[in-house]
Amino acid sequence: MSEYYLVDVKSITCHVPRSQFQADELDMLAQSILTTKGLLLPLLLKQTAINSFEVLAGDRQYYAAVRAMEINPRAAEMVNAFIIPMGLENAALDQFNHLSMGDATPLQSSTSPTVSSDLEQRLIQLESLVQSAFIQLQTAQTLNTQRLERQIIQSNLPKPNPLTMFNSAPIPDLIHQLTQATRLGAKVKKVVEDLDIARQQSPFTSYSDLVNRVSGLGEKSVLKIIDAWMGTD
Amino acid sequence: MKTIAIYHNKGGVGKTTTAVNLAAGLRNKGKKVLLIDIDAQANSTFATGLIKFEFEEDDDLKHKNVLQLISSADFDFIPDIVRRSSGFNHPEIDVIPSHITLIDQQQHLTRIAASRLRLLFKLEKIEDDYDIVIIDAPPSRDLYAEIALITADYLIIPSDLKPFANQGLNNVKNFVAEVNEFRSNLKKEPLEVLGVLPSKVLTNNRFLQHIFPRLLETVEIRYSLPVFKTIIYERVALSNCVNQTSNMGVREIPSPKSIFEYEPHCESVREFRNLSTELLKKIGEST
Repeated sequence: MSEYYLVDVKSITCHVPRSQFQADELDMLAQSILTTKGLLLPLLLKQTAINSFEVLAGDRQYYAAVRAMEINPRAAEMVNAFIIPMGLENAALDQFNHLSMGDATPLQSSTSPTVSSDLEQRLIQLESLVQSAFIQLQTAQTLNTQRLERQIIQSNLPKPNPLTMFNSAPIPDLIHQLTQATRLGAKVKKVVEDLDIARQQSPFTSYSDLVNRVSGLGEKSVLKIIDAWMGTD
Repeated sequence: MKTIAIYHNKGGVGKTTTAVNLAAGLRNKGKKVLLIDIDAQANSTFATGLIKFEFEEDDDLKHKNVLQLISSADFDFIPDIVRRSSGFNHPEIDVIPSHITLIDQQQHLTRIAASRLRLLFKLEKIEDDYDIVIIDAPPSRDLYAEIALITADYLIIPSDLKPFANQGLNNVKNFVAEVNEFRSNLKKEPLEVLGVLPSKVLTNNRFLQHIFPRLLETVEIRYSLPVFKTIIYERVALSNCVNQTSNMGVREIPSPKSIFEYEPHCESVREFRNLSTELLKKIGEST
């Protein structure tokens, strides 16, 4: 398997002389390697000993990596590379050449009659690219909106405070809730009326206050109502 | 210079106790000793008195430990990283400390083609500075353990000889075989397994008479591994010497000591002296 590694630049050698490449171009690439913290098109290397390698493909990238190490020895001590196992060198080179040709050829090599169809082809590809990117964006956006809405709803929901509810809930609601939650039965109406009178005199300051001032309402009932409101039941 | 790895993939078998006190024992015999802690738990680093800080901000090891040694080829050599143990032993020993960040960085290191070789290459550069290098390896089968076994010439396997520790011996043997394949690519001799070192052995008489001999036999026959003559028994002083603290007003500062420093005349001291001698004989060094 061709494995992807970080390889010490110093352990790599190259048969192509450095003078074949323009110094300012290597400089520019080196800066880019330092900025992006890596070579974006990894070298292909052949392992010649346990800690030495030879460039199979990517001579220019290699010298750019060397230049980057010269500029910043610590940050660019290593370079990303594929280490190609023995026997696979030619297959790897084939793939490498095809991949790098794909970048450069279509426009340069095509002659006028095919230009339009080439262009058309590219337009179609571009269109589908844009379309799929758009769909991706759309899905992402929908997901985000949903997530945000959920968060907003969650954060805006007032924390239910049973005491406030006792103090402020309208009478019909209270009657409904007490009937549901307690076993007061027919007494509910009377209890709620008492409660309403009591809270009009002054709001309840605590649950014990509530139990003390509303005669028909026992501790157990209050607990049951709170449980029902808080959804802990 | 001879390099010895202390390794077992079963934890809690007295690996760190062995590493630090063996280092002290060899130092006391006049050897120049370097102790390398490559276990992220950093127990050896602690035991040699290098973790006395209480707050993260005071951590002076984070950017100067064994991780830097493995990460770079051109920087951070052993003299840049090495520390002198602190209040641990007379004379003190040299230590390459470890750090908990090793756990985080393993993923990255496995991407580096040469990460398994760095420690070896950097030790070669200081070959004349030390007689003995001891590597405290993690009780796992990870990159760091691999580095330890690739770098070392010899292996000591401390073991309490209990069933799991014994069954782990097969893993150790397989691991050593794997490492030896890598070493042969390096034109390096296979790792020499010096043997299983019985450690944390109970001093209970009945255990020693009836059970212990059978356990020893298992190791020698079933796993065909040599066993050290020296036995490191579980003793109070030995477990206490790492846990010393000194009182500094409101603060309790860790003040771990070697057994030689902590209780110079105890049984454990004799055991570690014997171990040092037995080891030196096994590796052909003068005692």
